[in-house]
Amino acid sequence: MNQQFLLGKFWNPDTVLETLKKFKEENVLVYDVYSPFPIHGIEPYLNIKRTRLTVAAFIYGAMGTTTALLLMGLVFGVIWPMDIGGKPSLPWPSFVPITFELTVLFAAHGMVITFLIVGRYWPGKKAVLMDDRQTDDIFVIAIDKAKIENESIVREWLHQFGAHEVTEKEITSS
Amino acid sequence: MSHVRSSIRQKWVTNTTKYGQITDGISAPIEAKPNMLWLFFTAISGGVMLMGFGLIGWTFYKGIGAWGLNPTVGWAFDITNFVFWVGIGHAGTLISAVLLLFRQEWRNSINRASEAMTIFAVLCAAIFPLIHMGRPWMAGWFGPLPNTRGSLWVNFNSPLMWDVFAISTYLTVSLVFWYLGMVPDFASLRDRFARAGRKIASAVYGVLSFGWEGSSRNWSRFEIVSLILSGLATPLVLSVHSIVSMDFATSVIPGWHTTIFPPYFVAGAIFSGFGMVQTLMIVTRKVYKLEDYITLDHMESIAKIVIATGSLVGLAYMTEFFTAWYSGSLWERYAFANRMFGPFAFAYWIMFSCNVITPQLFWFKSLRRNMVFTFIISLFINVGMWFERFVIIVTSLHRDFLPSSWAGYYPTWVEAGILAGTFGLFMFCFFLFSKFLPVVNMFEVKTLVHDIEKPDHLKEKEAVAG
Amino acid sequence: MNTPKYWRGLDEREQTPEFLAEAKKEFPTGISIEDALNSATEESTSFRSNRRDFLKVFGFGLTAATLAACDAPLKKAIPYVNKPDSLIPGVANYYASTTATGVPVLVKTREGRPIMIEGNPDSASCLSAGDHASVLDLYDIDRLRGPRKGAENTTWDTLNGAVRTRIQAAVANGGGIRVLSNTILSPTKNQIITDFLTANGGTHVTYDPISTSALAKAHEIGFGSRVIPTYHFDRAQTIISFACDFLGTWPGSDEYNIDYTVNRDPDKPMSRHLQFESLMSLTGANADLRFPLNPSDEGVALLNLYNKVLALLGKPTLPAPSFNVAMNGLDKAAQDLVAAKGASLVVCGTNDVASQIIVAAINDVLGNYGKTLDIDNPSYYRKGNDEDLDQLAKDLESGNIDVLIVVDADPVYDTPYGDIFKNALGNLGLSLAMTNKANETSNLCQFTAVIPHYLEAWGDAQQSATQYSLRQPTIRPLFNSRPVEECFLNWTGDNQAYTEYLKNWWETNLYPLRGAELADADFYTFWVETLRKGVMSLPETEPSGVSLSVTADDLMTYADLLKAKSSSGPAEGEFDLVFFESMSIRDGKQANNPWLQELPDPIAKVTWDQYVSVPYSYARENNLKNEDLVKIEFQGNSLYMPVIVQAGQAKNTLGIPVGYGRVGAGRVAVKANGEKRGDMQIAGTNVYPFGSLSGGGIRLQVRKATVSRVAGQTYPLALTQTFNTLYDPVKGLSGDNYDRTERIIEETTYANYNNGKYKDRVHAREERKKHLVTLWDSHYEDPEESRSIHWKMAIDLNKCTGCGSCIVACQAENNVPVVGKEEVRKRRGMYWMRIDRYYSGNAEMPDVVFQPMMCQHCDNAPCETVCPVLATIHSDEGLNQMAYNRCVGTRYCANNCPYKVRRFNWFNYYDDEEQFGDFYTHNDLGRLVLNPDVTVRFRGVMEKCSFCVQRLQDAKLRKKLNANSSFAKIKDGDIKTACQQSCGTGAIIFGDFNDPESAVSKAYREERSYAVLEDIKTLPSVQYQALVRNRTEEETKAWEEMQKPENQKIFS
Repeated sequence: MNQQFLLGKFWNPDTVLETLKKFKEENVLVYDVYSPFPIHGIEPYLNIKRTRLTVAAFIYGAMGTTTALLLMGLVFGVIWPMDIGGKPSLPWPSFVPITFELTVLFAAHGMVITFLIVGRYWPGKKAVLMDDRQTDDIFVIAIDKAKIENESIVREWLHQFGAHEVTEKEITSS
Repeated sequence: MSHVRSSIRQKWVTNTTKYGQITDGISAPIEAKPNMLWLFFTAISGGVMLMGFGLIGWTFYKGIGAWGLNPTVGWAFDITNFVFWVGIGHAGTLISAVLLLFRQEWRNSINRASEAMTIFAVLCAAIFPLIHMGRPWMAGWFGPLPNTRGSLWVNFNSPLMWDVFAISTYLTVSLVFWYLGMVPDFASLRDRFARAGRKIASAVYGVLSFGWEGSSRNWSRFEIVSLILSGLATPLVLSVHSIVSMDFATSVIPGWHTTIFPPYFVAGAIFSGFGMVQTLMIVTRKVYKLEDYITLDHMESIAKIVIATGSLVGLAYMTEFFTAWYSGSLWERYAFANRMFGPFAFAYWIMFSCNVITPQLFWFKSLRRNMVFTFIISLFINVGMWFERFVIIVTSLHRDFLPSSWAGYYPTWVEAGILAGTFGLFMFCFFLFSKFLPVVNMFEVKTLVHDIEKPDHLKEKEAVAG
Repeated sequence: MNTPKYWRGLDEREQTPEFLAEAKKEFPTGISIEDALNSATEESTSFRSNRRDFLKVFGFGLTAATLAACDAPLKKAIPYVNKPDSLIPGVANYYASTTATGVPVLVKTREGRPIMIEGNPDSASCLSAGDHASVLDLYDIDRLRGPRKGAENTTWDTLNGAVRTRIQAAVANGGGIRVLSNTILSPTKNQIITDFLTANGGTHVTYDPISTSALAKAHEIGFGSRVIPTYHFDRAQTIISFACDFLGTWPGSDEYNIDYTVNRDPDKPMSRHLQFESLMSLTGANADLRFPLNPSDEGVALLNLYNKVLALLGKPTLPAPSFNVAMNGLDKAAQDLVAAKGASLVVCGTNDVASQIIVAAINDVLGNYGKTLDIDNPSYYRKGNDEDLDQLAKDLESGNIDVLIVVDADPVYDTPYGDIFKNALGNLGLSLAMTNKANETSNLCQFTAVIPHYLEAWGDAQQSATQYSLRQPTIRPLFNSRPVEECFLNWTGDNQAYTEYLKNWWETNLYPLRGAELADADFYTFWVETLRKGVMSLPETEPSGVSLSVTADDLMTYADLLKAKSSSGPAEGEFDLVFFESMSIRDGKQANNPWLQELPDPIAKVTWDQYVSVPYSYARENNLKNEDLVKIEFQGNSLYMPVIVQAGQAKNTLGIPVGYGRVGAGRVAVKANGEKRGDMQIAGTNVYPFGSLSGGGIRLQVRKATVSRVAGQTYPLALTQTFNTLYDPVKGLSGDNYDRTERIIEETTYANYNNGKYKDRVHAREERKKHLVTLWDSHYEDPEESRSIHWKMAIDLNKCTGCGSCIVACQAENNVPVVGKEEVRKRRGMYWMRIDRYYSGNAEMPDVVFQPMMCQHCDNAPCETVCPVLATIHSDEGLNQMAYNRCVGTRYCANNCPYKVRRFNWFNYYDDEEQFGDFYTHNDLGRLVLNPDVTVRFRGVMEKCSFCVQRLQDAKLRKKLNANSSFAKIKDGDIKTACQQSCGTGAIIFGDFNDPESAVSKAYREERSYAVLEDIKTLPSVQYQALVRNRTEEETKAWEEMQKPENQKIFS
């Protein structure tokens, strides 16, 4: 189905935050905000929960560690025990560097891949733009018209808080 | 964020009151047609690069004998270059990762370029472990080799094997970090080109931008990811050069067999890396008129880091010598005496003067802010750090335990050419980068702009509206 | 040979570039056997096989060899479908034989190819480097393929016909017939030649390039018999040697090496050896005390020694200007001699009758004749007579000679009369050279009769009055050659085969003298048994007690001669120029042998080149360095030579090795001919012509030579060791001079060894060891881990004379490539074992020590830890193994090797004709010498000593077969490494360390046993036994003083 969006466009991030503050007080549900760069402190107004990517990263890291230790432990301890320079067949100190590297490798790549998946990013994906300058110098507050009762008052507020333009846009959401 | 920035915070972006300016300024070289100067230098560096590859081909054809090595000095230019380039790489990661953790805002405008530098440097570095082998076509044996007996495994005791893991991890992670940082800027470019009606360019950057649209939800994830990546990259960068240093530290050769190597090498790496950053930045900011984003303050901070790391390196040299003398070990003492007064003394003194003495001049503010001077110093540092690796490798090897096998070493033109070739490769990549990718991180710089003004395009609209 | 060439595809038939490229690859797809077969017998070797096919090629190598010589030119390759008896493919056969120089040997053959020469355990002689290398001469691509008339090939019939007619002509018009040869040890050959000469008239002239003619003459004068005594160094407690290199280049040195070392064990009464010489010789390097002595002072020195000895014995002396060397060396010598009366020995290497007479006189008064030297059982190694040669030259000039037959000699090259021969050979009625390789003489002769290499022929030899040996062919003649004996028999008109003649001769002459063990054997048994053993020794005849019969007046005249010589000694700025034999090239006969060209001389460490050795003092004063180019002028000649600065060389002497500047001896020899720069011929000069007959012998010496630096010019020399001392001029901030001796060489003096000072040192060493810690217990220190066998090696520095034959033996056994001068100069020599040579003390009178150095097979091997692909790991028998196929060539292992014994294949050393020239492994004939048990290493691969692992496996397998069990306990003697078997002095001991009875574990328990670089705790499996120099208390004090760092005259 199609979504009707009410868009308030700003050129100053400060005004955006003030607007959101107001909406929060008035319980106006904001769909999302589009900005050329991250606006710090915006999360609470949009009810964005802290991402759990950190946990994912940790798990991937742990996987890396186990893989490394298993690999080396099995190869030197079980599959191919050998006398190398008179060392015992399980020279744990020698395993440290590789274990560390694999941990980082798994953590970093695992997390980035997860990020791309949850954010639904892939090469060649068509971007859904509210305004063709939202990646340049324009900040857009998008509000789902279906989710608000009194549209006019919202428009009023937007103007009041310094939106240089208030428009509507219909997005065909998949 | 902008609204909470106190006015006493240092301004890292000058003469800029509109976000649009930043996008315009940084996208300008990408949108403009390549100028002759750029074409010329790209062609030159490309030529040098090809020569380098030609000589590598020659080495493969003739055998490593084409180099000046001998059984006593089994490594020389090859591994020297390897360590040198890896070291160069470190500054990039340091700037983008460590300074991010420390919330050093000035990194925002130089991290992109220095990360690019990292990638290209590590590429150059990665060449040498491959070509220094007697049988490069057997490189696959660094992995498990399946055969009728199950599989031939590798030696996890060998620092060279650690290198394989370290370098590949480092390269890929830096690559990801770098690319991820560019995604939002690709989006900006995509939309700019779209507005300008340049469909193909827009499409290309569209593909690269992964469909980024800058929704706050993704911004917040994005920031976390960058933060964790830098959290991972920081120990990574330290580990990589520590491991490289273990190639030597774990051996028995006097002059190599030293516990100080890991920190010493890391300091040296950062030092050399920042030297290279200076060299590149001074040119880039001039050529692409980025003085407003890469300000003198930036260059000064870099210079400060150079003093710090340079002094660390100097301290390391002293410590080495003291330890050698204090150990009372014949071998250690001799190794270091031989460095200072032996046949390769010249290399040692070049290294010492370039790395320890010249950077100290940065104590003077006037010199720190004098770009010509800084540029020259940075070149000294690059030279000096190359020689540091040469000294460590060659002078330690050429006279080790049994005088009967003491030998000399003379590089052949093949080796010299390959070294030059990697510089060609490095510059070639950097030129391409500076033409087709945003050399400064646009969205991060935007976060540094103070008191914003209304964008011009809005003013125009209003004017039209009357 | 016009064999049908079978081809597998058009590619091969056309020899397209792609195909040839394919053929050069590491893993190509096969090879045409016929090519391998043919090229072994053709000048042109267009196609060359590749590594993988060695075994195939070798399998056919035999056939190639065999077929090449079948009576009817049969040309079929017959694979071993029907196995020949006594031949198991893959198992080596050993045959007793005798080298061309008459040394009894064992020949190791594989699939019918001789691949290695080893010492014959039944005869007391250790092989020289040359003997070991002689197997490569067999596969020399420059060998002649058939008889020649001038430069054209001809048939044996034409040749024999021509010879007969010419000889008849000569006999008819009473022209002189001469047979010229070097010393011939074979009694049968001598007999046959004598018969030939009695039949046709004429005489047999014998000469030796390096002559001891005067020694023989002296005994002729003094004892009435022209003999060279047999010296018994094993019976001598005091050995005084004047310029006599009896351990290196003197005839019989193969045996003297063994005899000499018998008394070098410090735990038994140790012999004392004083050396007086000008150049630093191998023998001098081994002496307990070595005194530089200028050749022109030698005569006076001898007289003074004679006087001092006789004075001590209270006998009348000769008038002589008093003279002495440093430290009153002559007094020491005299005292030691008298102290060891009857068990002492004076030898002199100078080819001068007067000197030899005086030496004989000294030995005589000391009653050494019949004890330490034996003229009743003389040595036959050199019978040359220089006066005969001189006479022959005169006759040639005056044209009284009609027929000259040169038997395996090269007078044009290696006599002072080269020019005379050169001019004469063309104009004689007949000049015939009998040789298996073209040389300067044969190139000028009207005919060349091609004789077989000694490995292809029957024969015998008599080394001394008490020892005969047999030679049997170990391969069918490769080329169209005929033995010397057969030719002469043919010309004499006696048509029996030489083998028959040989048997008959032995039956009539030696069968009756057979030993007790064969007392009731028939001739056949005797023959087979002797053939198996290779040698037959006869009991020594009792000394006849004949003493020197020289009247006082005669003695006086000889003394005057010596004085006269000395008085004409060199003034300041003038030099005695001595032409000497280097240990590698020797007299130059084997100059075409790449193994010897690349073998560094143990003293000078030079390969592939001639040089002039200059006294250290002179070089110091005139700022001469190695490789500086100098011009040496004498009697209107001028030589241009690169300088080698030589410590311990007497003042006013120069030394130049002979054996270079060979123009007609083949492609390898030419490589060592130096360089032509403008009108200067630098190095590569034949110096034999500068010798001259004086005092009853040809002396390769020139007096009053002057030397001058060629300004600004140098000539590159390929040295295998450029740093000569264990301490270093580089002074650190701490000011010490880094004396490494303690950690690398342990040496002491006999005095200290006995008075307990050495014990303290051993104690200190043990203390040091206690402080060596490790992160984890080594596999080996942990008794749980101790394995059935643990291979270890012990090397006794007291027994090692540094001769270097082990190096060549190792090369032959392990297919070590030859890399050529350029690569050696880059220090890329591939030898798996080297002999390090260090000087210590005063550069004018240095102490020399030799240390064989090969892979130490450390139990904590630094190389193993760092190899990323596990190409080198430890075997459970304690071997440090190298898996060539796994090696990727990072060279990390070599960098991390404290002993720097790993060698890297920088190029395709085994097969790159373009770069290295067409010899040795670069052609299929040369490849036949390769040992099929050892892989030939490809480019980019690391290699090193393997403790001859192939021999170890072989020994274990044999043991298991015989014991018919899966486990075989190896005992001493079951196995010998290549270097060990080549070392006649027994300096190298190898065996199972876990067997407490084995010689090696005994050696390790000795207090002299130490490991090199012990403080790195690599736990080497090679240990050395400390060097003990026989020096008295006060000599020791002087020595200790000299060893103090501040007294070290540093040089390098």
